[in-house]
Amino acid sequence: MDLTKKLISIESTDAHKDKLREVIDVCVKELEGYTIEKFNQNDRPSVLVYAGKTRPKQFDVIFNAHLDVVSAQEHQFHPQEKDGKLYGRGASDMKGGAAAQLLSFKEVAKNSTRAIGLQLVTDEEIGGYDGTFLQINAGVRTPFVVAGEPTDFGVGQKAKGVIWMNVKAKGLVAHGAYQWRGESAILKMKKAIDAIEKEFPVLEKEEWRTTINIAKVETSNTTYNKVPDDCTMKLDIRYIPEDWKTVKPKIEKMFEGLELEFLEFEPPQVTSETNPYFKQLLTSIETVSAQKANIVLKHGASDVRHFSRVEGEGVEFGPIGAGLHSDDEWVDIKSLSTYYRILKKFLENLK
Amino acid sequence: MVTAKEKKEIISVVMDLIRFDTSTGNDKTSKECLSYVKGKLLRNKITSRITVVKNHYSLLSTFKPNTPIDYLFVGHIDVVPSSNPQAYQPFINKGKIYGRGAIDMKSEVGAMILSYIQAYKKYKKSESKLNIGILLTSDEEIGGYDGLKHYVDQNFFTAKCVILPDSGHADSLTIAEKGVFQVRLDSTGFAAHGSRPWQGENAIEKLMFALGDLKKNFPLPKKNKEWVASMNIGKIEGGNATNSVPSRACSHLDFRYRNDDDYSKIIKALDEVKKKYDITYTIVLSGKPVSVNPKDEYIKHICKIGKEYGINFKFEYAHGASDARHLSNLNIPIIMFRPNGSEAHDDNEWVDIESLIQFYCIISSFISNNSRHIHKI
Repeated sequence: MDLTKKLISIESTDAHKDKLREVIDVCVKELEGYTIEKFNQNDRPSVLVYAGKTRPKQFDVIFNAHLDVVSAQEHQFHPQEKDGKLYGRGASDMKGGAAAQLLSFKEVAKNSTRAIGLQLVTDEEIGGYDGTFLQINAGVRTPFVVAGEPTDFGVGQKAKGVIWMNVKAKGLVAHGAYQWRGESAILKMKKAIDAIEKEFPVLEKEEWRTTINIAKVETSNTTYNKVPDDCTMKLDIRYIPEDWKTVKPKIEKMFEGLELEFLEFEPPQVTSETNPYFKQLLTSIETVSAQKANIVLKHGASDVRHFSRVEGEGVEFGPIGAGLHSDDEWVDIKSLSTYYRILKKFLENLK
Repeated sequence: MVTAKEKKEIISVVMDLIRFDTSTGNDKTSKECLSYVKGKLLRNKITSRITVVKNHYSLLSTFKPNTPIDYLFVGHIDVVPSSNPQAYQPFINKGKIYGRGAIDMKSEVGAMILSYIQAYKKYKKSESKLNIGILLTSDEEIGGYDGLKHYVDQNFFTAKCVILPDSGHADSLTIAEKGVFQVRLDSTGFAAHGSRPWQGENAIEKLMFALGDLKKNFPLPKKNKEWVASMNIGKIEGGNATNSVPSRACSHLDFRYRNDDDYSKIIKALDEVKKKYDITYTIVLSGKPVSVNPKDEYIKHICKIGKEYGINFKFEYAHGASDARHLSNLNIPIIMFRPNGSEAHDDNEWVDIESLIQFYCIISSFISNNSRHIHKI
């Protein structure tokens, strides 16, 4: 709890690079006696932590935690306890999980016969390329990674792939009182949005389906009485592994005539049920919580997906919480200690 | 008819006016430009007053102070900024004057100044009893609130007829201008992670639904002849991080409408989307439509004078608004026509010189009229 609060009070958003360094430093201080391998790219620091003097060729298990958060209101950087919940930016996504991962690792890794690694990164919210991806490129490998993302104790076996893209419409400027002399880029975009509503209607509740979030829309025009000649829309598409091959052609057909710019095209993630570490994790959950482990399908991608490029598997597994990225983010305090105990059990059982 | 000397003078005044870069925001240059006019009037022994409201300068001159004005010339000297610095260096080519403001509306202002001076000379010689005035403002392009609207609101003048040559054409009088109504729409939703859109409410989607409903009420006019109420979406904006469901979005709308019925329809449509999508709207600008009765005696008279110069005035409806909207409550006839020229606001603005001279002749002849049937109105 103390470590979680300490981490929350650091405004470690990507806009504050000094805070990214600070949040890493706070964690490193906790890990005395361990080897700290430091990485840095584009001012986004990350570390790889392990017990031995040299890095093993392959870790048996890696805990992966990101310490960056999305921007929030000022008060969210002052953690508050209320009704058994801890409120604050990152409480759930994922400074609470990070603290538990760090502490369980610290307890067990030194005395374990197995190669256990801890990855602490600061760029998950913006893609993970300067952290997890960079470390993988530096040769870090494992058959099983546990990302401590919030899952309410579910085990995220599958995760959706991600497409981030811009859709751009062009038109022709005219005076707003004489619209027939021009062509509105906004009205063109309106048609594209209608197509989204038709092909990918807004879900009323959670379903295992591909979703499109219209994240942003803008035009360079600021004048009321001008027909705008440009309009850009940013989309956040989360596609299920089952749609991997069909999603792109479908999008291209939907936005015919508009300019498309693919910013990210990330693969989905699937972990096989026969992975021994996966089975071991389920057992640990059942032992500690006396409940059957719940397999979940994750709508959001995590840094685990980067390992699927090098045939590494992994899951997302984290404590109970809610309101990630919102003004009202919290983590359940009791679940945080249960989470810690499950992780500890899992690492101990690896012996 | 006009003498060669008069013609030369008109051209020279127009070119002088264009040389002042009175682009929106250059209030000091607007003041200098009006001082130039003041000096010109003074050399003809006419007094005038330059006043300022919130950095926007205006000039008013009348033959007789504190007396109802028979004919009031109204014009603006400000222009829309040009990206080309050469635009403020006027030149003549093939019978046209080129330069920023050539048609909007420095040549009209130049012609009105000289027409005003000529009328004053007659007045001094006691050939005329008419009280004529001229009001030049410098904020029309940004709404005219500190210029014409201020003068109207403060009851600074009473006029029987206004000549405002900022719309119409060489052979047609504008008898109606649409009203303008600008609103900002704000839509609010709930933020959520972009991977779980069902947990949030996308403010952009709500806004787009609302715009769709509004668009149904105000379909896009396809051509100039469609005299209908219209809606332009000038701006939409919303969202921040790529992986968040946006909780706020806004849009800027510009409506153009013909009459009170249209206005009610706009308000009704806005109230409907407000209720249906929980969207708020804020009125940013509201300007009434202008309409002139084509059977008005003044209109009949300008048509008669037009005929003397070989012009059969047609009547036209203007989709765009001008400063004339500030006069709509006064219920006075407004004479709106102007010489041949380019579409305003482009970088090759021009006015045809022959047409400008003809314009000068028509307005000069028009204001010298003192026949009793007009004065009875």
